[in-house]
Parts: sequence; C-alpha cells; structure tokens
Amino acid sequence: MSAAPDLRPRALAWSAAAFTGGVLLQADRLPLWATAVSLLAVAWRLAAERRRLWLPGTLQRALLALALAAVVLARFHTLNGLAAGTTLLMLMAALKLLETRGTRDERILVGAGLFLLLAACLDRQDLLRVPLYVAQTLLCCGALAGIAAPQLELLRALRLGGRALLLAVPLALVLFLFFPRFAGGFWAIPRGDAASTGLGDSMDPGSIMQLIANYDPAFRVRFHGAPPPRETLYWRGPVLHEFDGHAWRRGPERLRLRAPLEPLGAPVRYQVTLEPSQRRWWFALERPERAPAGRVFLTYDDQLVGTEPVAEPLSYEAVSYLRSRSPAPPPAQLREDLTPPPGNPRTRALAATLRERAPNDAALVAAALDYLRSGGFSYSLTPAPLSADAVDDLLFRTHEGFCGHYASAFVALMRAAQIPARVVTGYLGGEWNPIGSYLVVRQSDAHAWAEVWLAGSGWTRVDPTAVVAPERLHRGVLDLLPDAFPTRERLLHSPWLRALFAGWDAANSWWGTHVVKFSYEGQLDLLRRLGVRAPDAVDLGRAFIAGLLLWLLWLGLRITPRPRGVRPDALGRAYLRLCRALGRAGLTRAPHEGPLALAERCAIERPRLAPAVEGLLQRYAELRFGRGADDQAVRDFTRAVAQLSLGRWSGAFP
Amino acid sequence: MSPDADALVLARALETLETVILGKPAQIRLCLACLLARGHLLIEDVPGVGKTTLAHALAHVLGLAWQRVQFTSDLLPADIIGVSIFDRAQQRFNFRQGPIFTQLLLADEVNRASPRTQSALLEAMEERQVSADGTTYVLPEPFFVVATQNPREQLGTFALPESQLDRFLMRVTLGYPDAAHERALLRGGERRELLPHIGAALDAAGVLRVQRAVREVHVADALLDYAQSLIASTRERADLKLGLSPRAGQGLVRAAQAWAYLAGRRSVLPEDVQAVLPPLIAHRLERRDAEPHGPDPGLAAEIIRAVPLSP
Amino acid sequence: MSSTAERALPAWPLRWRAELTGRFARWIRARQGVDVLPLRLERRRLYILPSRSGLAFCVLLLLMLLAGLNYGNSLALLLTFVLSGFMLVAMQQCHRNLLGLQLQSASAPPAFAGEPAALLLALGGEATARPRLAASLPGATAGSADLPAYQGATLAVPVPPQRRGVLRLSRVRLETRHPFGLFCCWTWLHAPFELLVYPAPHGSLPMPDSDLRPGTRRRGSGALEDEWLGLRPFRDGDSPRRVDWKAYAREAPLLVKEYEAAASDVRLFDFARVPLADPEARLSQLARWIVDAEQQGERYALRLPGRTLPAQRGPAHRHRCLAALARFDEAPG
Repeated sequence: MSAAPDLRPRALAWSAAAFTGGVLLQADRLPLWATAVSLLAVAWRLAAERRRLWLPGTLQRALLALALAAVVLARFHTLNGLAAGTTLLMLMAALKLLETRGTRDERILVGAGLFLLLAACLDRQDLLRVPLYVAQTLLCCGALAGIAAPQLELLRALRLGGRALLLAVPLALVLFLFFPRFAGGFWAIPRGDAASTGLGDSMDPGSIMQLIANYDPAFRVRFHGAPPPRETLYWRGPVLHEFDGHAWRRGPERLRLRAPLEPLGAPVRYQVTLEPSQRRWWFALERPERAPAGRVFLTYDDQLVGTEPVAEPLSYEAVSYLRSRSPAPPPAQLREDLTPPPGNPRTRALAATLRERAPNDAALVAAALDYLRSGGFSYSLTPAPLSADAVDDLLFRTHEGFCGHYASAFVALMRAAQIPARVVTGYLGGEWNPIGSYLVVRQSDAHAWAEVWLAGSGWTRVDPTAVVAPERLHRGVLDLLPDAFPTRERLLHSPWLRALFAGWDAANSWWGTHVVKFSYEGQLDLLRRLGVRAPDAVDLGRAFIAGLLLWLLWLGLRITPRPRGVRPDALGRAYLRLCRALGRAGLTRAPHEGPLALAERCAIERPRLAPAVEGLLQRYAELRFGRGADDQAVRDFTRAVAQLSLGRWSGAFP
Repeated sequence: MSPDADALVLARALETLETVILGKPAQIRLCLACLLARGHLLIEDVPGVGKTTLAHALAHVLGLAWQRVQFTSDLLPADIIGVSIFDRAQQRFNFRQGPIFTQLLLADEVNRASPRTQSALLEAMEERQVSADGTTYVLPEPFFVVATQNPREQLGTFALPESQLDRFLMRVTLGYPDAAHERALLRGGERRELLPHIGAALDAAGVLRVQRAVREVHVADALLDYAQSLIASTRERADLKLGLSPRAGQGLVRAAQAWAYLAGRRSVLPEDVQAVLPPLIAHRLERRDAEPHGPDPGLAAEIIRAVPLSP
Repeated sequence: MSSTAERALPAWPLRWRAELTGRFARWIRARQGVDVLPLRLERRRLYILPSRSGLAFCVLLLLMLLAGLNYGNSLALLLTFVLSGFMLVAMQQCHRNLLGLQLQSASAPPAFAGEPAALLLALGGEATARPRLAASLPGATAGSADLPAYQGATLAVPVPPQRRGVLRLSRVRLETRHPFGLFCCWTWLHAPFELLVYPAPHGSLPMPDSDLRPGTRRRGSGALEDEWLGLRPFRDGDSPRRVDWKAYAREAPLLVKEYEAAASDVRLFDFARVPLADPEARLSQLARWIVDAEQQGERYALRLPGRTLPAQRGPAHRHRCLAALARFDEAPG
C-alpha cells in the first residue's frame, strides 16, 4: 500500500512521555539540575518536531555528553553510585532523545523510562509510591504499542499495553512467589546518603524534643502472644555514658559483648520491623535475651547495635525478658559509669546530703525520687532554657522539663552520690493498630530514662519522668500535651484521622513485610505452608515451572477477544463473497478498487469470467450506490452470487 | 430535449472535441465535467500545447457566448468588470459592462495579471456577480471562467494565492502530445482553424438543463462515506501542507456527479470520484517538501490507494 | 529463481547471510510444499522470533533481574516479573495475530516494465480483527494492511519495477509485529504467483498508417448507415470523396468528414516491420503504438513471428496484444 501518513511525531511523543514519566519518578531523588536538563531536552525535541528548530549535531551531542558526564562526576565524585549512575543514564537518554530518528531510538527511550522506574524501585519501596510505579509501567507499555502503531489513539494504545500487563500479572505473581531468590550482592553500588532519623548517639536536654514532634513511625512490632501492658514497653536504644555537664554521649566505641542474662519470669517473643533510619540502632524491649539473627551485636550495656546503618526496612525476631537480673560486670566497667558530672555544685551538694541520710543505694534512689516527686517539678515540653550547669538549673531553678531533662539530672545526681548510673534512650509505649494487630512505635514516643547499678538486683531501670508525670507511662506525649505540637501533628493525631491512619499503616506494614521484605526464607516458608516438607531451592524451581506452565495454558486457552469493527450488511457480505470467488479464480480486488473498475479488469485479465461476473458487479454497483435497494433485490443478488461458479485459477495466465 | 438526448449530444460533442485536441481524451472529458459541475476551470501548462485551443473548443461545443481576455501585467480590474462612463446627454453615469459579462470567459494567462486584477476576477467567479460604484450586476447564467496559466516558474507572473486557487474546481494539465499525435499535429496544420467548423452541440439553455440533470445524479450514503474518508485522509496526512477544504469536498462530489453523467450513469460510483480526484487536488494539495506547484501525479494515486473501499 | 533476488552482491558477511537465508528458505519450502489457496495459516507454518527491539527488551529484563537479585529488592523483582510476563503475552498476541488467518486468494494485475507493480493478497473474512499485517517479496519493501473483523482486506505486496516478461513470484513473506513490535511472527507462502510484465511503452516512431488487409471491405465511405462524426484535417491518402468541399469553398482548409465506421480503420503493427534493430526496442515501440491506438479508439492488429492477433479494439484486446508482447520469445514450458 502507499506510504502511510507521517505519524512519527506521535511515536516521538510516546517515547518522550515514557521518558518524562521516568524522570518525574526520580525528580525528588536526583539533583534538580539533572531533572531540569532532561525535561528541557524533552521540551526542545518536541518543539523542534513542530517547528523545525535547530537540533545539535553528532559532534555537539558528543561534547554535550562529555560535559554532562563531567558535571555528574564533579557533583557525585563517582559514577558508580546508584544516584550518580541513574543521573548519568537519565542525562544520556535525554541526549538520545535529541537525536531520535526512527522506531529504534524511540524504543530505546522507553527502555530508559523503564530503567528509571527500576532505579526508583531500588531506591524506594513505599506503598504510597506504588501507584506511581504502576502508572509508569502502564505508560511505558502503552508507549511500546503507540510506537509500534502510531495511528492508534492514546487510549487504545494504553488499553493494549494495560491488557497485556493484566494478563501478565498472574505470571508475575508466580515468579515473585517461586522464582528462587539467591540472596546477596553480585556487585555493590554505594547508595546515596539519606538523612538519618531517630535517636542519635548523644542527647542534650533538647534533642529529644525534635523527635517528639515527629509523628513518623520508627518501627512496628508484632507480638507472638498477648502484648505486654503498655507501661512496661520500654524499647531500649542507645545507652549514654559520658556527660559533659550539659549533653550525654555514648562514649568511645567498644566491642564488649554481654554475658547471658538471668531471666525472671516469662519471655516475650515478637517481631520488629524497623523503618530505615540510617543509624545502627536496633530496638528491643528491655531486656533482650540475645542478639537476633542478622548483622547485629548485643553489647555489654544491653543495646542492639547493627554492623551497618539501617538503610532499608528491616525485620527481625527478638526475645526479651521484662524482668531479669543482669550479670555483674567487671568493676572497671562499673567505674566508667561513676564519673561524676562536671560543674553543677548544688547537685553535688544534694548528692552528698542524700548519701549521708540513706542507709544503702536502694534507699538513696528512693530518696532522690521522693525529692523529684515532692519538689514541685512539672512535665513540660517548653521548659525554660538551661545554662551551662544544666542539672543545677533544672533541680534548683526552673523545676520543669521532660524525659530528657529528668533522666539526665537523675543520672548526674546518682553519679554524684557514687552510684553507677547511665542514661538509656529509646521509646516508650507505642500505638496499637487494631486492623493489623501490631504496635506502631513512632518517633514521638521517644523517651529517655535512667539505669542504676544496685548490688543484688543488677542494673535497674529508674524512670524519673514517671515520678514527675505518672500519666506519661500510659499515654503518648501528644495526648499529654497537645498544645505543644505543630498543627500537622495534632491533626494527624485526631481520632477520625487516626482510624484512617491505622488502616493505611496496616496496609503499609503488610506491604513492607510481605512484599518488600519477601525473601528466600519467605519463599520456603510459603512452600512449607503449601505442604512441602523441608523445602529447598529445587522445590521452588518446581513450583515456579508448574506455575509458568499453568499460566501458559491459561493464556493459550483464553477465548479470543471480541472482534472490533462493523459486520457488513447482507449486500456487502454477498459482494465480499463474490470478490472471494473472483480471487480464487485469479482476480483479486485491490483495496480501493470499485466494482466497475474490477469488472473492467476482469474483462482484461480474465475475459472468460467476464460474462458471468460483469453483470453481477454492475448489479452490485446499482444496489450499493443507486437509488435505494429493496431487500428482495439484495436477496436476488445474494442468490445469484451463491449460484456463481467460477472454478479455480491454475496460477498460469491465459 | 430530453435528458437522455442531452447526454447523447454531449457524447457527440466530446468526440468532436477529441478531433480538435488530439490524444487528450481524458483531459477533455475532465474539462467538460468541470463545466457541467458548475465549476471554473484552470488549465495550466507550458505555452503551446493547446490550452487556448481547448478553451475555445469548449466554448464552441457548448454553444455559449464567450469572451477572451488576454491577461497582462497592466490589465486593470475595470478592464474585466467594466467601467462607469458619464453620459453627457443623459447627465448620469452609465455602466459599460466589461468582458466578464458573458457566459464563458476565457482568461488567458491569468497569472500574468497583477494580484488586484486577479482578485477582482476571482471574486466575480465566487459570487457570480460584480459590484461597481455601489451597484451589483448579476452575471449571466451559465457563467464559467476557463483560465489558462503558465507554470509559476515563468518570468513575470504573479502566482494565484492558495485561497483563490480553491475557487477553481479543477486544474487540468495537458502536457506534450505523444509521438503519434505530435506527428498528426505536424501534418494537420493549425488546429485552431478547425474551430469555426465545429458545430455547437448545445446552447446556453441546454447547458443549464444539463447542469440541473447533473445535480440530480444520485449520490448514495455509501458514496458519501467514501468521499468523506478520502477527504479526511488528506487532512490526516502529515506530509501535506493542508488537507482538502470543505468547499473542495463539495466540489469533489459535484464533479463526480458530472463525471457519472457523462458516462451515462444515474448514480455516482466510487470510480467516478477516483476519476475526478486528480484534477481536483492538483492545485489544492502540496507535499511539505515538494517544489511549489510542481506536478505531482503520484499524489492522487497515493491518496486513492490509501483509502480502502468498504464493501 | 525470481529476478527480485537480482541485486548487487554485497560484501562477504552479507553474502554469507544471504546464503544462509537461502538455504533456510529452501528447507522451509521443502517442508511446506506448494500452497494451494485458499488456505488457513496453521500453527506448524508460523515462525516467531523476537525482533531486534525484543532482544533489547530481553537484555533490559536480564539487567533488571540481576539488579533486583543483587539488592534482594522485591519491588524491582516484581517489576521485572511483570515485564517478563508482558513480554510473553506480547509473544502470544503476536503469534495469535497470524494464527488461523484465512488467505483467500492472490493475483497480480499486469504492469508495464519499469513501473512498480503489486501482488494482491485477499485476506481474512473471519470474525477476528487482525491489525498490522505486512507482506513482502524477498528483498523488497513490504506492503501492509489492517484487517477489520468480518470484512477481510486486500494486502498489496509491492513488486519492484521489473523487466518485460513473465515474473514468477515464488515466495511471499507474510508477517506481523503486532502489538508491541517486540516479536515478529511470519510465514512463507509458496504458490505459483505470476506477474505479467508488459514491455514499457517507449519509442517515437510514427504509427504505421491504416493498413487495409486484403479481403477487408472498406466500409463506410459515405455509406448511409454510417453516422457523421465530425471533421478532421485532411491527411495524405484520404479519399477525395470525403473532403468537405463546401467548407473548402468557404475558404476553410481541407477538412475530411469522419464517419463512425470510417474512423475504425485497421492498423497493423508488425514486429517484422518495425525499423529498429533491438528486439526489446521493437517490442517497446509496439507497446507504445498499442497504448496510443487504444487511447484513440482505433482498431489494430498485431503480428508477431509465428502469431497474429486479428484486428479489434477494447481493453481486452489491448491486454491480449500487450500480453503477447510480454511473452514474446518466452522459453516454452
């Protein structure tokens, strides 16, 4: 047939759309300038298509490519990182767009769109972004259809792509569940740094305040069994040993493992899913029995420290004893937690007084708590600022503060009174999600408490905040002091939204554990649940092949789609039948050929057929294009065509 | 005379024309169809291939009163339309009709005139009336313009703008005669001398009658569908500067009616539409990358081949 | 073999490739045998392979799989798996677009030498729509068509300009890349398609004058049953009885009255009498005359060595004459 109308601009628009989708997916992750350059290239190319703008030639493009690669190198100091690599790929694809000429180039751009999508998937797996990923996949597949057949309308192309994707979903599920996952890296690409969140390795009285104002989840906990009462849920995080009079620090990194614990009471078993924090802390209830499986240590101060920062959602099983006795540490270790606070003379004096009055350490601790309870102290998220002698200020001047202040002051007081003490930071409580039956611990649940060494009972938790504000044990800070928080957090906390968020959080958590963190172990577990005993990779392979075959069978058996297009009327059908008979006799109607032209050609090329056919073709012309054809005439024509016998053409010319 | 008799007479007229313009039966038929479809005709070709002879012969055969105006660069609109002259005796202006007040105006080398003159002519063609000094004068019925023009590359010409070209129903190109006919021409002497001896096959009333009959040639819905998809296909093609205008679309159907009438049919067939499409698009459609107004014989065939005919 | 394969032989890799495809083609031909139309495309004669873009897509999928496994990233893996399924669905859809296609008939209208021609394939007629089918001859560009449901369509396979003679098109490749262009599914049709190529009408020799063959009565010279047609200029050899003397008396040039029957003088185009050396040039000249004579509505006869076509006119006669020229000197059988 003749050259089709020029539809290349539409194909180009498809490829540009697929690429732009990929660029936008990455817009918040990659540098702004790279996104801007890519979008500019898209705009430039599309404008050039409409009104013949100048486009760079081969040399200019090569120079531009070098320049852009140099900029990427200068900005990232590497081309190997995920962000750097993705940026480079995006920029090169944008350059490619400037020179697209044929179908091949356009498909390459769709490939770039898919690659950017892959990078986005590698980078972030939030449930919230999944609709975007789905949309981009659909766009790319629609673009493939649109590039292959540019005459298709937008929706038809998208429908073609979407239909194929829908048919592919069952297979994707089979592959996802059963394709053997060989864990681990073939090669390592450094990840970009992301801002770390959550508890740090130091605490000054105000630092916890920033966390408390943050409603983001820190981790989720699923208890195997009944959840313990809320006031016992102390999630242990960084333990701080060094005090400079104002702020507490963890102190120098020492790899000391903890000796086994002496449990008192039943263990609590649970699964924790950490949100990425870019910090090394893993959290467990006080006190963990041993380090969970994974790259993590249980240090001498009952803290779980990972070997690497948590960059992706992370799940682990943990066992804790709410009541236990810790083994006696070597005296040298205990001495480290005796360092008295610098400065703060009035605190030292108070400590000396308490020491004189108290018969033993336990009584001294009780006396100190009594002092806090009766000294007119109050819980406040907006305390008056403290000077250099922060402990003195709090205890004798301002009398107000929150967990960080009281934990800090209490430990300083204990150390001044010659009792080994340390500050423990972590989270207290959490929010029960009834939809997902799990506990969400948010940054706003951040807490700090004290731990003192008492001969006989070992390290003992003392929460001075609970003395000052006992209700903190049962309710979150937001409930306690709503006015201290920004509107967003307050709104998020409102009851009707809370229900909504519980649903969303449950979905998110399901997504995180069952999809994002689905692994080889998860696959084996699934097989186990399907009744395979002691499953291994071979069983996975078998399941995978069986699923694949089933899917192929289903695809093959699927009924053919309903035809599109209008069925011709009786006259048209009879005419088509006549044309088919003519074709068999060696005379094929050209697509645009009218009946009389066909008759004429018949007279020329197949003169022997002409007498039989000419009349019929003329009759058809009259019926189709003349003044109204009644049904009887059409029936007569149909019958005449049916009775026609032209024989078959041998293939040779007369 | 009955319509059938008219058709016979026309068939005879066609044959007569073919004896004057040798070897161009298809073009002659198209020209006649164009006039019967009430369309104006543009004949474009290099000088000396018989454009003017063809126009003369058409006027003769149709038995119409005709005028010939040789367009030149100094021709003024008034030279065509007419001019008001002060009559001293009656103390008022009298309008003296120009050559346009005729049934068939032969505008020779229309692209030699200035744009102003051209547009005066083209306006008259469209309105079938002229205005001078605030008075409107209706042109006679029938009224045809047969314009001839040299290709634009010729020096000293003003190309007709696209919007005005659209007012011509067809543009016919004659082309050089083939070898055999060239020989006959060389032997036969000046063809124009034959003109006075050709009898008129029709007269003005007959032409009007035939035009009416042409308008009554049946156009089925199926045919309109086909014509519509042909027109639409020209608008969808990205390699054309512009698609066919609605006016061109009307013209296509009218011309096809005339073609069917000349073939003695009472209804239009797709073949008729296909036959009149080439001269209809010759001056209307241009490829983006083509030489301006260059002949493009392949385009019509391409358009026709690209639109399948549904059964 | 077919003359479409006659192209300049390129460098050795291409030649090697051509050799390989040729061998494959012969194997296919031996496997399938000669096709008899109408036929329905069965599974065993359909071949499917990923197109170049499809291969690139496979590589992309492999990279995605590696990246997903490397990072143990479920979402990337899920994306990879969805796209793998998409690829397989594309394959199935591509295959199904050709499977069961009804090939009704094929024929090629005659063409002049040096002009593009076409082989017309009549397809379809079932209730399934089949978009974007394409067909091509070896080494030539492809023609394409969308096949609407029920209606069927004709696919015009372009045939590049040919030399005079009978062209045997032994092999047509019918393919589709619907819907995403990732796969190409194709079949080969082997049927004795013939294309008659008339000699190109060329030559500037004047047409031989009317030649009255012995035994033919010259009809119509003023006889009553002939209808007066018009006047034409006097030519040498015109009968003086037909000159319009009245007009001449009015100082017009010499005109001849033409009558219906008188106009149909017979011209004889004789191969032996064309004053050209090259037989092909003679054939071209004869074709030119036939085309012109037909256009002018004259009766003409054609005499070739060993064959004479009696005088007649009309498109069928024109075709017979031109076909005789096309088959001139054709090797028997």
